[in-house]
Amino acid sequence: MKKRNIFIRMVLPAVITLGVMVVFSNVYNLSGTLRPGGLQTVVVLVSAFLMFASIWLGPLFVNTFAFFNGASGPERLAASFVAPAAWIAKTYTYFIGIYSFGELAFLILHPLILGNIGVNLLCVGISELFCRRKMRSRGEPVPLFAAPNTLALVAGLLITFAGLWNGGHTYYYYFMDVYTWLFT
Amino acid sequence: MTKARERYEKFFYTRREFLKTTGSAAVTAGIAGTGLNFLASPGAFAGNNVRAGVPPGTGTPGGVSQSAGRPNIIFILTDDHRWDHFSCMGHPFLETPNLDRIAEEGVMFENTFVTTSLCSPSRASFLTGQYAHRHGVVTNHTPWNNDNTTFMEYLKTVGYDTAFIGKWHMPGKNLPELRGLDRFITFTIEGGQGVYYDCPLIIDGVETPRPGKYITEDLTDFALEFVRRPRTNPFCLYLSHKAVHFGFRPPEHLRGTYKGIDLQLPPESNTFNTYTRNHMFVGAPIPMNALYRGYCETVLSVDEQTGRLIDALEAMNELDNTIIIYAGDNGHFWGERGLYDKRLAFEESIRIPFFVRYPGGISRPGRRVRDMALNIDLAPTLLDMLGIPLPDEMQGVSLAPAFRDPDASLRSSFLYEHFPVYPIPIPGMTAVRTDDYKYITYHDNVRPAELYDLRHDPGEKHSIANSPSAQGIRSELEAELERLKRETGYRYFTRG
Repeated sequence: MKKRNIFIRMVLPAVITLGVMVVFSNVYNLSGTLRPGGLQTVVVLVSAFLMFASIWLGPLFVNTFAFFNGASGPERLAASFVAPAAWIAKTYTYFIGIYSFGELAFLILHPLILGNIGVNLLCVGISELFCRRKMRSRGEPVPLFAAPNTLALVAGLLITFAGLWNGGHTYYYYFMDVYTWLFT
Repeated sequence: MTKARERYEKFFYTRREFLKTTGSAAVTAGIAGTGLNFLASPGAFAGNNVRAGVPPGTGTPGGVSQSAGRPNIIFILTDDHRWDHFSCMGHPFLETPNLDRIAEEGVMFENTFVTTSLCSPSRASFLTGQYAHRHGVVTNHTPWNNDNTTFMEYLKTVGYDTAFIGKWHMPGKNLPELRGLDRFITFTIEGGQGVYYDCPLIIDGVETPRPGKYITEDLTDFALEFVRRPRTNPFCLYLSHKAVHFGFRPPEHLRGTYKGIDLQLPPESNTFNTYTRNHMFVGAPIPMNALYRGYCETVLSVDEQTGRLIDALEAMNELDNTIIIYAGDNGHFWGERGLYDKRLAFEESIRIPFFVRYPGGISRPGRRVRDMALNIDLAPTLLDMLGIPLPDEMQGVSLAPAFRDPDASLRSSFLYEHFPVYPIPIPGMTAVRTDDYKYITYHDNVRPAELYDLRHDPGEKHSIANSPSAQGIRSELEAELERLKRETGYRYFTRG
């Protein structure tokens, strides 16, 4: 598999996903200014789908694109997390000025933030499986389950499962109990 | 003369006679300001804002039969039930005949607000008659202080049988030591929020599984059991529902009632509002339409169960001898300005239903009062109605004058406060609302101040805080906000 330059193999897929996130977040936010009706509904549906996909499912595209353009494992992981990192950073800006540094640090364990990391890890793992199977079908000696991609898959599954168990209530109340213990 | 009127006259005759016979002695003894000064107020319900500074058990009309002729009290508190989600408030499809009945046969305070739009602080304010910064439950994470005195404790001292049934939802390692309660039935599961189905209850200290039970009906069953007990004393029932809080799960027989109906949500609302603008941080990763449908169906259940309670009182011939008050602990956004949940100082969040039914004590039933009432007014209102001196620490006013006098004036402005609630990205804020304006400021100016002209912009969509023509009123409101903060002893809490 040919290793393309860093722009193609790493920057391009990350920027595409980030661009989709930025553009369609704004389209979604502006959709409220449209007259209610068919056009508004279509704009809301399309922009919301692409916005959420870029935030939560980006690695399915980014990792796959990077993989087939010769990006290394760390490069694929880094590229996959550009859009999620941007979203998490943007989310943090809403909290800055309201909560202490310690509380902001603890926020990384919030089911939504940690969940975003977990789901994106899971997507990396799924993408890796897809890419590796494809490579193997072409006769390339690539292990289906190497340590890094297996770790991403298992960690992603565990975090996602924990976050969604009991409709998300169990993890959330554990999170809040620990918060209360630490900060109040 | 109706039976209710007879009871009413008997109750206030007793009080007037007491005043007549003790008034001169009180003056002679120079005890004004020690509690009996309230009793010197002329006429029923007239001494609404005189503070006595008397601890429970010492400020009651000593010498009179403590409970003789006094009405029963039922206070029904729901969660997140905003003011306009009743058929009597013109909701396009909700049908709430039993809740409407309370308003239509009583008095509706159609401009009632909470001083903090959040469950725990608001609940503590109903109980204590105090702002959050005074009772100390400033968020859903700050524990209740057992030194706080609830209105039920005062009622106990004048001979009431008392029960707290339902949602307590204030943090703390253990349940509170609520003085003056004969029954205390509550739940602590899920941080005190409870669950709609199979919610384990703590019945007078004993944790009890409730398999197969739907929470609103289960709590009402306990309420009915308490109400129906043979007794010689009047009773005070504090019935605090989990409904209609998030989860929004109706009972099985009401599920799907509004399936396929046009929900008529605001134009700026859409299905994804609950996922965006950080609304997922309030725990709502479910489409807006589905949540709202569940909310409305859950309201129906509250109406249905309230009907059971009213029917039981009627069957016992106690309905007209019972003061029934219905209120919500805060409002809720359903897509207005793209918002979801509550906490902010906009009307959808801070405005609540407040209906009082008491035929014997309310003139011209079915009346609507436009003056502003607050959640902190419940406790002083009840104490005032029963002739109990208002303690200094209560910060609300009695609404009782408005029961009798349509022209009674309550207040011209009030302070709204909110403290940060981890992990919700909404800053601390204070606001002042008058009849015509609302001015909102955010702690440390993390957001710009907002000013709304409620007469011309009731939807609060266009802040005029920076409009040159509004600078005069802005200055006035800033001064009023500072005055209210001083007067109420406001202080900021960085977290809860």
